[in-house]
Amino acid sequence: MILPVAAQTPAQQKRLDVQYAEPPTPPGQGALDYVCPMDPDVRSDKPGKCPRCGMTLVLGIPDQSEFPLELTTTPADIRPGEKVHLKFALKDPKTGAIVKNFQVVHERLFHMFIVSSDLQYFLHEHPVMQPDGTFLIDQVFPKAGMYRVVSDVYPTSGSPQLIPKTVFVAANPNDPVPLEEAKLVPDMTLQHGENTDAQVVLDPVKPIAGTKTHVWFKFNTADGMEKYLGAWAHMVIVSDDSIDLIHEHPIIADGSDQMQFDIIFPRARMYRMWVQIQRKGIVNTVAVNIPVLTLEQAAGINIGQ
Amino acid sequence: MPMLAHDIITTKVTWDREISRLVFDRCTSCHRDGGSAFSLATYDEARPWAKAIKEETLERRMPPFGAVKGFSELRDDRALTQEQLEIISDWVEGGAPEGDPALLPKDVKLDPPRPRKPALGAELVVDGNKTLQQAATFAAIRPKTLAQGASIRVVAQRPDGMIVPLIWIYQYNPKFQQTYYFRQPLKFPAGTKIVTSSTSGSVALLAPAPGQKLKAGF
Repeated sequence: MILPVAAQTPAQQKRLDVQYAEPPTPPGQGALDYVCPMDPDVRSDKPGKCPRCGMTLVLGIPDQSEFPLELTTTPADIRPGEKVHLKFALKDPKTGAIVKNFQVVHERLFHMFIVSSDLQYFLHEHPVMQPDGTFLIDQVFPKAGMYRVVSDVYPTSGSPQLIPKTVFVAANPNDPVPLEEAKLVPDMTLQHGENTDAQVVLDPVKPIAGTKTHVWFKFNTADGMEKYLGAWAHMVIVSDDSIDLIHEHPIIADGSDQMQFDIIFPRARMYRMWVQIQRKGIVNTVAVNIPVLTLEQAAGINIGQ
Repeated sequence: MPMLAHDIITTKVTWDREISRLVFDRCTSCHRDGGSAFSLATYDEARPWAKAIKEETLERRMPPFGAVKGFSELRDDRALTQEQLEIISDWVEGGAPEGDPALLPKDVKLDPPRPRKPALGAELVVDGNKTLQQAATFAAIRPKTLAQGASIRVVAQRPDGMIVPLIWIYQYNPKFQQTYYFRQPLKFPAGTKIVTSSTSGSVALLAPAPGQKLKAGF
């Protein structure tokens, strides 16, 4: 729900625009900024699109209410390599009714990310909306293990939701339940995508938990870059314990051979970061593993150098 | 005119717009005058704690819900979403600006009533793994003997092979020990195995109170 300022009639809104246009209010300081529902730090004093992710800016203060999401799988016991039907139902937090009205986000109503808990499997897909408001997709989980299924949806009556769920896949009913965490080793080497290579560059070189890290991706190709699903890149970051699940877009990108993300890694541990870009009609997915330090660890390193 | 030193503001997220609303929703039931912890109810009270708020939330120590989101579905889940964490860290890293007090929410309840929880019955303690000898329904789960700082995942493995997540406790803090209620009670047939990821602690599964009508709830 957008709080009442957005519920103005066009005439009232116009009056408010005039009211706030005099004296001129710098973007970000004024009362009634247009704000990106997905990137709340992006503001404008005029309606328009978010320069970072392409979403339509909304007037007012987005309500951060959480919408419960039901995920049912058919069959209920999921086997590796076998097709499973995933059904998602987003519920209104006040009424419990299935939500039927969604905003398009990055050219789709529903983005689904699946990552295995060893963080070796990554998928970005788009379940399809049904007349009753549920979303369906058929999926094959490649191997036994725990998977985090992350849904990215924007109910019209709320704000964008990034909702994690967890499913388990087992080959046999009596197999031990896979409950190990990923064991990631740092890997920031050149990554070979489908038709471009990508090199990650970090500043600071050793990221510190809770503070901003500039993350650049530099590509060995300068031609043919295209927006993929409305953004120059989609980034998903998952902690090695698969608790932190982050979805980001570049803060600076123009279709050239490099782009910049600003990331605050939440905790001092290993993170795996996937980046998806499109070049000449082909989607490239590359991934790197980034160790994140505490401030104390980083200070120790600097003293030691 | 003398200049007062202040942080350079590099964020558009402000206390008066986003942060106050989050704090009133998730923090002030304890962090208020007359509550169980120091007050965060105003900008002047919260601003000195900005760095600590960022660290405690990013480390998922605060709010002290203790269970990881999106494992089982729990009622009245007080944990912050990833977007809420990002808004808080953007605000703090950007200089924790106040914004425009005219935008503060009106009619704030610092300690709104929590949803009512169903009454509970018998307790089944699981230390390691346990196989159900008969069919059972569980409405809630709670840590029983768990070391401070321990993380534990608990799942139910049904005889047909389906694995149902029950709870994922992250870095347990006994000071905030609580009972977690499933959004809807979970039924398991005889032969279901309750499996825990750690041998260093036990959990208790709780049946609904006898005669309790089973309803789903948020």
